[in-house]
Formats: sequence, C-alpha cells, structure tokens
Amino acid sequence: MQQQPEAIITQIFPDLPLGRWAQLVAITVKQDDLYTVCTQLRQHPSLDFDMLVCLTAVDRTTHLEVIYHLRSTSRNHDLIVKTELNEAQPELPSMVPLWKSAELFEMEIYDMFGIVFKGHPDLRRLFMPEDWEGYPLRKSYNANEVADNYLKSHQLLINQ
Amino acid sequence: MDVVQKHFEDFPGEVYQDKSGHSSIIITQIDRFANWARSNSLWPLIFGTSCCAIEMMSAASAKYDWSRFGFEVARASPRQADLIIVAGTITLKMAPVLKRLYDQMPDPKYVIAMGACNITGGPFMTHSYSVVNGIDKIVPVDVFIPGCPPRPEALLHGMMKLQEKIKGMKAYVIEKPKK
Repeated sequence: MQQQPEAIITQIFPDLPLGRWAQLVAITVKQDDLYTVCTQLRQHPSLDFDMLVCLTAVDRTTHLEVIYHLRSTSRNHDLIVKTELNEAQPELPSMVPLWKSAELFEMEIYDMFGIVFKGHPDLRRLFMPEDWEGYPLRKSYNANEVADNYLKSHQLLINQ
Repeated sequence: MDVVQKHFEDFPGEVYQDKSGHSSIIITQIDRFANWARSNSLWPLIFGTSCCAIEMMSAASAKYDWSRFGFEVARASPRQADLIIVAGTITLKMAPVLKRLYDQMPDPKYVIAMGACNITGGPFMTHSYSVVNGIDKIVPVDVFIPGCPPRPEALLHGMMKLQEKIKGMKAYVIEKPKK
C-alpha cells in the first residue's frame, strides 16, 4: 500500500501550507526556500525522496508555477512540491546536485518557459533550434507569427 | 510502302507497320510522347515523417501495389527521384531538410502533399510554434491529397491525377513556381 507522508512533513516543516492535489500531498514553497526544503526532503532519513519523477511548469498568466513530483522508493510515498515565481525575473536554483534526472527536465523548462535554473551544468535549448526567439509555452507568445518569421529568416519561403 | 495502322490503347499517337512487321512509323507530338513516357515512370523519393508514411508504405506494398500505375522504383536518394510524396507533418526543424531534398532532385520534378498536416498544418494549424502551416509555402505542390491520413486508394487516385497533369504539361519547358 502507498503511504502518505503528511504527518512527517507537518512535523518537519510546520510553517509550510499543506494540501491535497489529485490524491497526493502537495506543499507550496517560496522561491527562496526551495533549495533548503528540497535538500531536507532528499536527505531526511524518514522522508528519503530519492527520485524526481517529473518536473513541469505552468503559465498561470499572473505568475509562473513550477511543480516537482517526488517519490521515495524506500519509504513508498509521494509528494508534490509547488513553487510560484515572478514572470519578470524567472530564476530558480537547479536541483541537479540532488536529483540527476532534473538535468533534462530543467533544460526543457528553460526551452519552453525561459526559466533560468542557476547552477545547471549545461543550460541550453533542448527541442527548439538554437536561434529560436522567445519561449513557446508562455501564454503571451504569438506562435504563428514567430514561426513565419523563422521561415522568412532562414530563406525557406517559396517567393523569397 | 504498304502500311497498316496498329492500335495501341495508351499510346498518344498513330502507329503504322509494314507487312513484314520489321519497320514501323510513329506519328505523334514530342510533348505528348515525352509526357507519356515520363508520367508512366515516376520514381518517388522515400520521404515519410509521420502516420501518412504508413499509408504510403501500404500503397507501395503488395495489397495496393502502386507499381501497377508506374511508380515502381522508390528511391532513397533525391538525385535519382523525380517525385516527392510528402507524407506527414513538416515541422520547422524539418522544413530546411525538405527544401534541400527538393532542390537536390533533378528536373522535371513533382510534389504531392499528402494529408492534412502538410496541406494546411491540420490539427496544428493555429497556435502551433513548431509546424509549417502548409508546405506550399516552401515547395511548389502539384497535387494535394486531403485526409488524416488518406487511405492508399486516395493516394493512388492523387498519383493518377498527377499523371493526368503531367500529360497536359509542356515537356521541355520547366514550369517554375509563380512568384
């Protein structure tokens, strides 16, 4: 049976707001506290989150949200860590020192949302071409116009 | 010389043969003759980028068999092909590749756009940052085959329409795309 880490988390982080999201325990962490909280989640023996299953971002138009899905293979429990950040200065500490799997996830999020992960060993575009303009999954992005500009600037159009 | 007219259903012209059967006379126009030969021996380039390619492979295989209509030899090199069947979504990353392959093909060359994705962008038409909305922006298209994906019968129909189109073209004037 899957365990729920609710009790241990309220004991270790009494200040953090704790909720439920799709039957999983979710905590919301401030941008500045993220790395210290994640280090404790990774290293505390009774939590032992040794696996970063998924790392995604959402554009909520007022702010950007980054979501970490953590799993502990030894304790058999899951946790969602959410953090909100300002669209004007999207910076987060990189989680590569804690979980190696964060490397590609962070590259993808940088590619699609333009969030800079400080301390990432090789932060560059993963899917889009190197000379691509802007970040496609931002809500304010005009995709068709940028795509047309890309064709034009690479001289691919038939009537050029 | 006494000659007898022979009847060949598909041949675009008149054929006469003498009684011995050794020498023949053909009366035709060079355009009609060249286009007849050309349209019955189109060499498609193997170029599939998504699910339309599965239907294209099916059309090439024994069940539908496009070699019945003169599309016998599918080529893996653009330098040996004169028809490109664009089967599948063309992304912005793939667009330079398609353009280069088209430029490498020797004239006369023809393009078939197969499926919704490369006619208009299809399901990726609006708000897509990665898909070319219609390959006719990049290469001149001769025949569009709608469908998602089109069945092999539709592909064969489109290819036969291309043959009809070729038969109406000027054989030794390369018709460049309109600017």
